[in-house]
Amino acid sequence: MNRHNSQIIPASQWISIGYTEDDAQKMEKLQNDMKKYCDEDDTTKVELLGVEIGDQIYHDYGWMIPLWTELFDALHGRTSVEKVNISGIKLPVSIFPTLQSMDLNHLGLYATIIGVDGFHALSTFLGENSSLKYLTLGGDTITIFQLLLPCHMH
Amino acid sequence: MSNHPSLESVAFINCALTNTDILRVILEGCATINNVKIEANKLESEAVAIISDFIQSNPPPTPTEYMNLRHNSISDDDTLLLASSLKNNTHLRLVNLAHNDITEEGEKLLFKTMYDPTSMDSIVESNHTCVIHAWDFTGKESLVQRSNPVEAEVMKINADHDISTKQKIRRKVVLALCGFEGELFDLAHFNDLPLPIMPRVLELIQEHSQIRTHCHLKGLYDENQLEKDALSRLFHTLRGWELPLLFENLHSPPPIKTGGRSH
Repeated sequence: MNRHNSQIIPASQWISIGYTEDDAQKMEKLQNDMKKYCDEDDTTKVELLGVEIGDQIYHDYGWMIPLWTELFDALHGRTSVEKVNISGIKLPVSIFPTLQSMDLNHLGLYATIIGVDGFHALSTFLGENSSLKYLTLGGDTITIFQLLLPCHMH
Repeated sequence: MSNHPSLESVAFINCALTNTDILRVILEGCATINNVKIEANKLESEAVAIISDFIQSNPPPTPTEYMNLRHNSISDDDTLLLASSLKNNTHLRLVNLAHNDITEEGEKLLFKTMYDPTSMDSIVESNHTCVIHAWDFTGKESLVQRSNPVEAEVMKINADHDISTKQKIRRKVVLALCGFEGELFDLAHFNDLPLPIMPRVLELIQEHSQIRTHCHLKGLYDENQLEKDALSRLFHTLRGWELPLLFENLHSPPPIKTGGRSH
């Protein structure tokens, strides 16, 4: 499969669904960074910064799925990557198998709206992972962490 | 998380962790994590009670050493509980409480956890391993600029992990005997001081402290009170003389030499 098939969604399209021009530019940059990481085979750090805005806009992240898929395919098994920081963009759950295939020692997820499925995937990831040293979770609300309570554990 | 083989640091930032049941489960999972950060979660009194339990019961072999609780809503009243739990913890090296609702009153209470010169016993029972910050020491004001000399010295003593608890207590005792601000000498000199000459050294310090305090404060305080304070310090020192923690290598006193013969 050609890993460069996916299209970058231009700033104008993000503006059309309510993003400010500044935030729309950030989304375009984010996608360019994703493409860049697909090509950089020797990168040690993946840092993707979106924008921190309302959930109602995050829900349109579906446009990004082809790009995410392309990135996960490219990163899968790339053990040179030690650090992944993702912030301000809704993250597909399918990232966790990719993260598991790396020798990550640093994972930061901030305002990634991973949701209930994402939290379960993160728990599974932590249960099977043996390389991670630093974990930072932020910007996700208490509703996700309620899964930690005994009544949700089984 | 507690079973993870390599995880050293976990941070929950801006996660609205105000539910105490959730916080308790999270902290249980962090019991073996070296560095725990719970920042910007609006933690209040109920949450502090859970955190205090965690601090007090955090067991070896791999207990938490660093706790970052910056940018929460911890108040002066909460510091009482935190201080109490910190007195029973010998593993934590740093607790950062910057950017909470802690005023100078709370700061003083927390400082007393590390150094309480009220009596010899209170010095011994202080926390000797943890540095507690209630202000942002990474900002413009450095630790030394922010603290008075005694605070800075106590922080230095607690942060020094190359000396034993007994040596730390010895330094704090000497610090308490100095008893006034400014011109602190290097307390590290006392680390290897031979035990037999220590009483004389403490006596001289006491005299020095008394004279200097007297000169420094003449006219401001009652002279009899100053003398009482000085005697009180000496009394507490002597009363605690038998404490095994005070001096390391405490052996029988050396034989008294009389005319070249030992008895």
